[in-house]
Amino acid sequence: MCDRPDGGQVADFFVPVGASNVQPSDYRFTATHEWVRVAPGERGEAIATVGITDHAVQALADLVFIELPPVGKELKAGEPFGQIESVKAVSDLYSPVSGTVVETNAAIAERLESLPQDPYEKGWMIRLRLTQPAELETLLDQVAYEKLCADQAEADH
Amino acid sequence: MKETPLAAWHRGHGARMTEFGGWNMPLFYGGGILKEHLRTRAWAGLFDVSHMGRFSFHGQRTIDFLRFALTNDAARLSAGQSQYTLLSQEDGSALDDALLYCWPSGEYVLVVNAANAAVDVDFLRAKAQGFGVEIEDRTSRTAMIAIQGPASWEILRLAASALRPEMPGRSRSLPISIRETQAVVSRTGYTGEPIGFEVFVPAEQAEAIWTRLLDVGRPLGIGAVGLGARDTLRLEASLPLMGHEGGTDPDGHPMPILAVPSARFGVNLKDSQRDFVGRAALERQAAALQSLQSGGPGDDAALSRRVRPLAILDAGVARHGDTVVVGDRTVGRVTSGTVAPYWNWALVSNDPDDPPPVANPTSVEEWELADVASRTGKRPVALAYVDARLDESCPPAVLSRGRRLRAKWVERHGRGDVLPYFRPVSPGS
Repeated sequence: MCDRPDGGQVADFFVPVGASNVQPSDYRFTATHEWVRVAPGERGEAIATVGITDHAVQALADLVFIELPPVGKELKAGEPFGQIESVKAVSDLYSPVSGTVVETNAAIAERLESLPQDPYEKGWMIRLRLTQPAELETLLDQVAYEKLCADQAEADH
Repeated sequence: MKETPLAAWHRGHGARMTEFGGWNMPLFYGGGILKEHLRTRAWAGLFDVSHMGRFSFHGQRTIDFLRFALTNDAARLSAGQSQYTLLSQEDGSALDDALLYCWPSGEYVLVVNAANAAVDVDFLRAKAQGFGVEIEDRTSRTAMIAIQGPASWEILRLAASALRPEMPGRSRSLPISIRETQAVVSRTGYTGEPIGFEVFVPAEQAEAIWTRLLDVGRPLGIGAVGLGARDTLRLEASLPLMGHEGGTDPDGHPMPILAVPSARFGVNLKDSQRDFVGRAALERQAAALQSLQSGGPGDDAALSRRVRPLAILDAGVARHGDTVVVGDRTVGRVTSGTVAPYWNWALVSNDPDDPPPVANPTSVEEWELADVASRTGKRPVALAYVDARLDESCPPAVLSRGRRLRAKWVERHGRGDVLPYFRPVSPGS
């Protein structure tokens, strides 16, 4: 996923398009290039927002369709929650954590071509009510994720 | 991996490189596949197709050999013409498809697919022995550059010295001089563009000619295009790709050559005195087709399935190998599928006076940076290998990764019969 055209340089973590008070340290990552960020919901419950990383967006290129799950669907960590299609290939999207889908991002499904502009905020895909919050501890932090990408880029050369 | 004479240029210009047929080739450059596709349709695309195999033939009996080894009749070519042709197996399936050129000089040159070039040359050498014909592999000594799209002839005229103003007819070739290098230009291509050319140049001059075409063509909107858009363009034009539409099917069975609609332009059975490899099998396929076309039973042993364009109506991409169903009955397989972008004009109109809804070519760079979504669309398109006797009124669907995508048989995904644009054709609802 990390065979970037720039020869494996890891880009700045994210371009803060409309970045509010979100910090890179708020994010956790999977080896399959999803990100997750947890914030308290209206009733104080833990709500996870999930998307895919800039590295994934760059590697997939030319995104054309996305399929997201219905609200209410229960997901286990590591289970596919949808598919994303580029011109050349289709890829599964894996849930980083277990939970129940409470919201999906219809705007990104309608305007998938805008995903590369802001994959970490406006490009979110699903929101989950966490059922196993401890799973967050098993995910990669920003430093570990960027190292993974750098290692994968290295292996491709 | 082999590299073309333009590989260094590609790497220096942001290309993402990919392996294709044993060659290291550009998949796309900075803007991506969709933009390169749209650029070709509105202005012009420049493609490095030097990976394709290029062979020439030497010997008194060259024409006899070509008439025996290839499915089309080389005797019908005169200098400056070219024809689509195939290398058939005895069973009537394709080893490869090819373009046979009779150069303006009278020399014969065969252009074949990169992935098959090695087996093609073995096949040709084996057949050539009885004719005393020598086969020369000119792939590495030459380069091949395709320039495709409405502005391509104008760009060639700007780049070349003393090229006459009127465009050559389709499939015609003529000598051309670019930067004092002698080359051959032919009005052929693999994009469906009604105006498109391929230029054969010496390998050592490839980069100079490539950059000259880009430099003079920039105000007219030209840009480099990789293999990714080459595939979406050919698929939108329903042009076959060997290994997908031809050769063996997704289940591993040999596909009859005439199962592919465009193959009829590459098979000539008229001269009954001409014996050629695969002729008996092709005669049976042609008879089966004729029977089907007149409402007869066809001949399942010779031709049980045919390749047809399939429009996908749902938001999902049918891929090679996906199952095509009618109701719950399997009728065939998808051989190629992708998403083709299109300019938002003339989806149904075929009026050549319609102005294209695209930016002025002088603002192409602005367009590159701008959000093109408002002026363009995208649609999934496919080719499928399906039962020859289908009831077309029953709506098909494609089973793709657990989804059922609604689909529709169409005659074509787009048309290039009205110059200068290739226009998308709507599948309707």
